[in-house]
Amino acid sequence: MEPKQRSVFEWVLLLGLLFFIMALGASLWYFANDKDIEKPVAGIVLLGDRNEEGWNAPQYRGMKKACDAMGVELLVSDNNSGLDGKCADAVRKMVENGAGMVFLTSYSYTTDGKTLIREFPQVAFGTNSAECRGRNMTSYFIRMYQGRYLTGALAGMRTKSNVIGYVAAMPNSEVNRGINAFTLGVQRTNPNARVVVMYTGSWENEEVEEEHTYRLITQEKADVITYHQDEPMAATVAEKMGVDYIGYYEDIQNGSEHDLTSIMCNWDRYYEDIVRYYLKGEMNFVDNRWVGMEADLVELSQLSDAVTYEQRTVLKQLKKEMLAGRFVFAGEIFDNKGKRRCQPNEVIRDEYLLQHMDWLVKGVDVLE
Amino acid sequence: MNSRISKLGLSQKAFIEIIILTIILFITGNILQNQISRKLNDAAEESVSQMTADMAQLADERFMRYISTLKAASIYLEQHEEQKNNILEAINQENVYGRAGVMDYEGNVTGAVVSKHDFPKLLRAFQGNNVVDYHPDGGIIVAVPVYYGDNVRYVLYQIFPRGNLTKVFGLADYNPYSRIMIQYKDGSLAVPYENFSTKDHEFWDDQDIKAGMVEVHSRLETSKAAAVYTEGSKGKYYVFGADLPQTDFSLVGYIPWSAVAGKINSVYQMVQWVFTLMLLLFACVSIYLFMAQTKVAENEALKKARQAADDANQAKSQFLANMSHEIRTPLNAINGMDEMILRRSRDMDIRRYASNIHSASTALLGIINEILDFSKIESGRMELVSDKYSLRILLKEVTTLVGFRAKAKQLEFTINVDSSLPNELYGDVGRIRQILINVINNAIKYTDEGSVTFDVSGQSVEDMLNLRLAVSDTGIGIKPEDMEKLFKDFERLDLQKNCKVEGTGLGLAITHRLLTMMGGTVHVESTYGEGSTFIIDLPQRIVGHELIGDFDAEQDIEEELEEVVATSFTAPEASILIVDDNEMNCFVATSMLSDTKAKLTVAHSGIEALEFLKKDFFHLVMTDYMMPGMDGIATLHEAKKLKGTEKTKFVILTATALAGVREKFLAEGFDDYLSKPMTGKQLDTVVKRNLPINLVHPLENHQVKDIEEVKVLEEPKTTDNEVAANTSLSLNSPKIDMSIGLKFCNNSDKLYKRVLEMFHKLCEANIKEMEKSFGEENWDAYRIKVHALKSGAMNIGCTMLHELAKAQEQAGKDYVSEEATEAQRIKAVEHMKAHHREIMDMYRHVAQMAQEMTEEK
Repeated sequence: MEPKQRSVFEWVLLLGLLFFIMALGASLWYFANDKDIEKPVAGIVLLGDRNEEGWNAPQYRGMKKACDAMGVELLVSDNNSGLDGKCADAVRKMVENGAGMVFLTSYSYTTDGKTLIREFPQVAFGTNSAECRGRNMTSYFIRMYQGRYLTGALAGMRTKSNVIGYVAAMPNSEVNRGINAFTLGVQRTNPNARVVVMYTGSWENEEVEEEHTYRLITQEKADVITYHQDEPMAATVAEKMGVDYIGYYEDIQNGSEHDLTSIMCNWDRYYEDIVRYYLKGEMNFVDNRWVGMEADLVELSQLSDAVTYEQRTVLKQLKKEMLAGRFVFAGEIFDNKGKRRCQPNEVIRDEYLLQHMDWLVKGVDVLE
Repeated sequence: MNSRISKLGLSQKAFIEIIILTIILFITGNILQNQISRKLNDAAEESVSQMTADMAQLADERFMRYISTLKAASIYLEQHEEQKNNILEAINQENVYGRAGVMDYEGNVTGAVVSKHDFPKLLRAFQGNNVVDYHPDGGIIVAVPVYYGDNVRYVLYQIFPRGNLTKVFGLADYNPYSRIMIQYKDGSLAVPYENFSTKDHEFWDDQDIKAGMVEVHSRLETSKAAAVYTEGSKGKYYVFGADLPQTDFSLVGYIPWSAVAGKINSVYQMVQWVFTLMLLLFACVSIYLFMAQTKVAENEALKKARQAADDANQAKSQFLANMSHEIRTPLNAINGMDEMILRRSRDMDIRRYASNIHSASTALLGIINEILDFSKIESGRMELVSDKYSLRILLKEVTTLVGFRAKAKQLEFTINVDSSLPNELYGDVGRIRQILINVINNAIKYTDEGSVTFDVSGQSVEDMLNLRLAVSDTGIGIKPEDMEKLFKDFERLDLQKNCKVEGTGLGLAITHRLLTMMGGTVHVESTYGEGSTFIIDLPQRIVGHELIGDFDAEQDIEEELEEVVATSFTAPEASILIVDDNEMNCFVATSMLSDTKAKLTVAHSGIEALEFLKKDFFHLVMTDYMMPGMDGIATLHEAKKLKGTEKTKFVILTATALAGVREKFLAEGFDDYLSKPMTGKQLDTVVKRNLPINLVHPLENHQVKDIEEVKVLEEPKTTDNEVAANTSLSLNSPKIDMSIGLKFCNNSDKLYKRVLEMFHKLCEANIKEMEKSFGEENWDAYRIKVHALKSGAMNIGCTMLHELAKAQEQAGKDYVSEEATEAQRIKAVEHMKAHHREIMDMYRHVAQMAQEMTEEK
């Protein structure tokens, strides 16, 4: 018998065996690999374009980075003004696509947010607005006012005219908190200095911002300018006019000596925490979550070369004090109407700061 | 050898295949096992982590309980600042393990003293938050703010010292096997479980447990709770953990693997067992299938091998048959010539030589016949011809034959016959004779001194006789190990010792087979060196009541022999046509049948035979097979087409003694078959059988004797004188050469005489016919007659007449030939006319001479 010759029976047997082994391998592979556990999905709604520097781009980048790091799929809706109900539609679409949490990045979404939290009670919502709350909605805040306080101290030290210009969007709790903390900082280093505030009435209106800044410098003789707007127009004007300025949210970094510093927010950390809370199921454990310098969420960008060593030392000292429990809104505080808002052994509670700061401290002048 | 190697290779290959299969299954099983335990552990981890999440919630609520107590107190304190101390006292009573206190923003403390530095988170209570904080020395502090309007004035707290922590926050064990404790975010143990000892420290410091905890903490980054399976020096455990959401604490613990997965594991073990058993089953089935397949392959190979062997054997038989046929033909001539010498020669020396040749060739013929018999048996074509026979005669014949041999070897040969045996039996007496001669000859052959005894006995059952024929000798005997080989083909035992004993080794094999065909048996009893006994049992039918009586080997049984052997008849009304191209054969046949007084006609070719058949009716046609031109079969087929042959019987004669040939011829349409050389009796039998019964007249005994009486011809005289006396007729006087004539008559004087008579008797009639044809110039008829004359002249030994006739016949043939030209025909006719007279005269003359020769004798 020819040993190499195989009978049909043998071939069938071999083929069957091969098929069996392949099937075996395939089934092992199929069952051994964990089925794709559905990736958690998160959504974020942005006011402007996701690539627009200033407010929107850092938000988007922070959220994106956190989601990527923790294996969360991110759905984005940008250029969403929030005034036409588009925000709610965008969120509905996100939930349809499996979003378990949605973050609304603007005060402008308050109205839509109120509808949404009722419409989707199983979805965890987060926002940076204080106006909207619910069982499944938590406000995440950054104690930016701590930065304001420190830059105020710097402005106080830098001003020669003792007039500091402040271009602000509108008199709400957040803006007022910033103005007050800034002014308390100014007064800490320069009790004679005053802060002149001009409201633009809008988060984004470069024309008005430019005009107001110009007016503060030329008319009020302000020699340090800061602002609370979505764009750095005030800084641009100040730079042009040759006065010091302090940036907000955005590191201008043009190398100019007048660019004293910027108050920066570590959005990466901010969103990392939020996404982690979401994954751990703790996103809505509290109504408000407010973190600041103690968690490195708020920081000052590199100080201008014009800032002296002494001035830097003072800033360091103040920061240290703050981290040790010396709060900005603690001790005796009067408003610019002469009313005492805080006793010497008291601290203004967070909830109030967040929602009810409808007054300005002593030393603030509002220019109409 | 070769097949052994390939066989070994085959089974090795299969072995390797099975091994590979087993390895594959083993690996698969292993992977499966790993996957199952991984999956089980994953599932268990999931469930443990779920359990942990539940416990974490419980733990969290525990903290919240203390916070709510403080919260209630803080509201009261807000309104009743002056009752600060009472409130603290009340809190202490509520929660006896802790001590309460109040601190303002400036750090002034009432009640339990704590340091802001020990509990940095305490400050957050001033921002309006509820706080739970821990310090390794101070223990756990729970604090809430105390509001005055929108501002925080105090922080109300309760501190639980380290020693009391387990009592306050310790978690009741979730189940008897698990241990749960609370860790601070920096990894320090805040709330150990009860009876936390150095052993537990050791446990948590174990490398594998630590590694598990690291994994737990890394999972906690993104999940509520986590559990990890660890396996190490401590054994199998699940370590688990969950963060307490509103604090910086985590709940951690462990639970033995068996407590969680023990039951699930039994499922897994069951699966493993079943898998193993199925593996074994699979292996068994594989081996079985493999073996079955191998067996099938082997069977197929065996079948093929057997087919090949059978074919080879068939070819061998064919070859043997052909060879023996080829040998027999010349041997026949040798025998015949030798017999001629014996008859004619008076020289004693020559006669002795011839006698030796005779015995040698007879022995050789015997051997060849054995081989032929064997090949016939081999191919299953051996036929038994059963007939009535006399046991007495059979025994007499055998005894005479073997007795002579025994005497020659100076052995004592005795035969004992049971006198009560029936004498008239029915069977193939020829074969029985062959068997007996074979066995007894064998005994004589292998016995150098002593005796050979032949015992004949038997038992009758109704009309059957169980004949027992026992042959005992005092010869060399047979070794027990050789017994089996005894009846095998070509086997010869004790070759060294018996190398001088002649024989083919086929004798006993043929004996055995013949006996089997006849329903008999043979067996041997033997003691090596002392002798053997061959016992043959043979059932025979009893056809007569006569008993054998006292058997006397010396008794003359010639009469009986005559009676049995000579069965002859006359059939004067019958006409028989003999067709053979060989003159001698025709002559022998006609001679042998002349006693029957039948009308015999001879044809020398198929065509000639057909001519006769057209003209006359024949009862029987006996044709040779091997003839030039038309052979026997073709002749038969042509003859069958003729009218008037419907009742004619056809018998074929052939020297082809091949097995199966008879069937072949019968299938072709012949009525009977006769193999050459034939005996007179065989010819008689066949002719008698094929003639119509009413034409056959049995002969009376005395008549037979008359015929059988052999008149021995005298030594032939030279006829020279007589020829010389008749020279007047022709210058070239013809003469009859008796030796040639005798040759054509098989050396039978009697036949020769008859031939001579016939030659004379037919002379005038033939001449008349030839004259008539000659006159009519019917050259074709003339030619045939001349042809007959040619043969007849040769048969009587007259070469001269033969030559003349031959030339005349050739001329006739030339004329008749279709290709002949007119000139040739004229020439042929001239030749015939020129010689006709001469031939006719010589014919008459020679016929006269033949007549004279018969009268002389």
